[in-house]
Amino acid sequence: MILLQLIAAYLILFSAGLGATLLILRGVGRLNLLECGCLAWLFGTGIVSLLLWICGTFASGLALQAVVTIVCLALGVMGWRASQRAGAKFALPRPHGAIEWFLAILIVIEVATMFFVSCKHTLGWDGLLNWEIKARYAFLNGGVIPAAYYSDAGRAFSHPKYPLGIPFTELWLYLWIGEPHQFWGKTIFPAFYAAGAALLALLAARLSGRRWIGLLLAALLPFIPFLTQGPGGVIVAYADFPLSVFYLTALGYLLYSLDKNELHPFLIYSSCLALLPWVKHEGVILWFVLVLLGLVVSWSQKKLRVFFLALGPSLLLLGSWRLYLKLMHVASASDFALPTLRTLHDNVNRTLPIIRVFLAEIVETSHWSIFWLLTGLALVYLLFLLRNMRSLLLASAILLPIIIYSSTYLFSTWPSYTAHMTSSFPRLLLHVVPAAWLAIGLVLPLPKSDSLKVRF
Amino acid sequence: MSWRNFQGWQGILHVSVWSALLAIFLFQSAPIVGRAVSESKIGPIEASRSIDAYLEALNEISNGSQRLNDAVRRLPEGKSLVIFVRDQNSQSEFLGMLIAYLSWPREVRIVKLQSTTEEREIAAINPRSVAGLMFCSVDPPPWLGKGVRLGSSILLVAVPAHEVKP
Repeated sequence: MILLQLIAAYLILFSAGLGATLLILRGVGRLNLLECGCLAWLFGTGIVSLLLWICGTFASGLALQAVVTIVCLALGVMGWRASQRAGAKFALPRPHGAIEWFLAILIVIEVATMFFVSCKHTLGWDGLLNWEIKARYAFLNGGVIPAAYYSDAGRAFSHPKYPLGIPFTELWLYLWIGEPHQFWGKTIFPAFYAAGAALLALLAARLSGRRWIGLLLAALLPFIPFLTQGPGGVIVAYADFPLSVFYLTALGYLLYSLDKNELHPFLIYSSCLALLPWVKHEGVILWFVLVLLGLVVSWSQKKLRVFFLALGPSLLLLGSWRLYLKLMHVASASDFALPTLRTLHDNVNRTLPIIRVFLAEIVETSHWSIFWLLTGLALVYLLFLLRNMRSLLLASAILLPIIIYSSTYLFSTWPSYTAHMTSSFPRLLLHVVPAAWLAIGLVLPLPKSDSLKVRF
Repeated sequence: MSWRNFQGWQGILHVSVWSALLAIFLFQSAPIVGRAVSESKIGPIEASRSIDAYLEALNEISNGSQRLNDAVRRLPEGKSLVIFVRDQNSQSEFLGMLIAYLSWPREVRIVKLQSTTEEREIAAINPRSVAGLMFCSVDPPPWLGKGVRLGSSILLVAVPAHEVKP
């Protein structure tokens, strides 16, 4: 019975996400089924969690579940009808040749393994005490986080001000299952992995013009030890990997929009951009980086008006969430001081130790193997050999978050800021890992004539 | 050297370097990732699976979430729970947070103890507003009397236990 309820929860979530995807892609004649599925998952989690939060202000319990279900199904119907009216056809690209088949089968096995390994492991510290705790308390209160939780100083350790994208996706499963179930709730994380791996393959294939490159990168993705088994990786149910998938998707479609004079890649960029701060607090930094890059792209393509319109949903969500936290009198337990010039001046002597910790982390082979060496080499290619708009944007999308993340430790309020960095920085690096794989994918193939490129 | 002119020996160098680096990457990663894949086994498919596993590992108590929940629920309603943890001891702090997680909606207060301030912190408790004292990897002072042991590292003392005094 519980499995049927779980499947119902997933199907409704997919319905919402697929509806949104089809509405965005309504001008596209040939729809990639895999792409639609991955985007449906990302948008579905965003829509369901947002709906639970918004509708939770006026409904709870069964009424809340019913309202969200109806909206999700309605979105699905709207999207489907829009795609039918446009005469869109679904297609599933098949691998060509032995190598592509081998890599594709390997990816499927890896995704299955990730589900299996995820089932074996428990929720990690943050997975339980930052994310699942919110889903549980909301479930116990009819699907709405009690106002008392936000101002509860005794539970400030669980960061009440953290956004609800992940916990409310778990909550959606709980509402359908009928109990806060840590085992089944955790299944959303390997689903994020599956979507991330497939989107990496698709985006890298499109941007490089070679399908085998995309497949190779997706096959290599789980071989980063920290991503697979580290504290913050996929199997311990932290928000970092899902955030990296949203970042990859927004970035990938932004880069794709450089080559295509179509609106839909930019709309996908805009939608994922809006969801970044909703997945994790640090998503605001990634949001800021992508806004800068989006501004450059829009400027170069003379579509600034579209860009500013595309920023609307992000700004609305950011503003609403801040206002909501203010109204809830959220108990603040911040690990960082306000970034003022005075604090910066006082802590500028931290710069060298921070660089030292940074270097020690990226050469930590038990976390990353030689992944950052590969990324460094790819960045050299992008910045000094390729030197086009796309390569500069991609390099910035990797370097800027790392620089900003490292700089935040100048404002750490921990007694030992280096201990703070050692404990949290690896997780922050994870946010740019799929984007870094994309960079590697772009420099791997030797330049060939455009006639050899394939469609995806 | 330009990307478009990557031909001949430069192309061979490019392919060789990247192939070697990717091979090293895989060679280093595969054993670590392989260990993560092979270790542990699928546990019971239960609602409190994660928290029970932690309580069993850290506190040697089976079905810990249920037992802790029951113990906290038996305390007088409308009063808070004070959880004492050892400062700079991640295991003790984690146990304290797990208790706070399970005690919802009861108000909780987590007090981090340093050995020098222990007695003072406990003596400062106002017994009228507190339902119980929970000690995580912390020995309560002897004058507090006997409590209920909930596993190897957690001790619950219901208040009033001599109306909390030194």
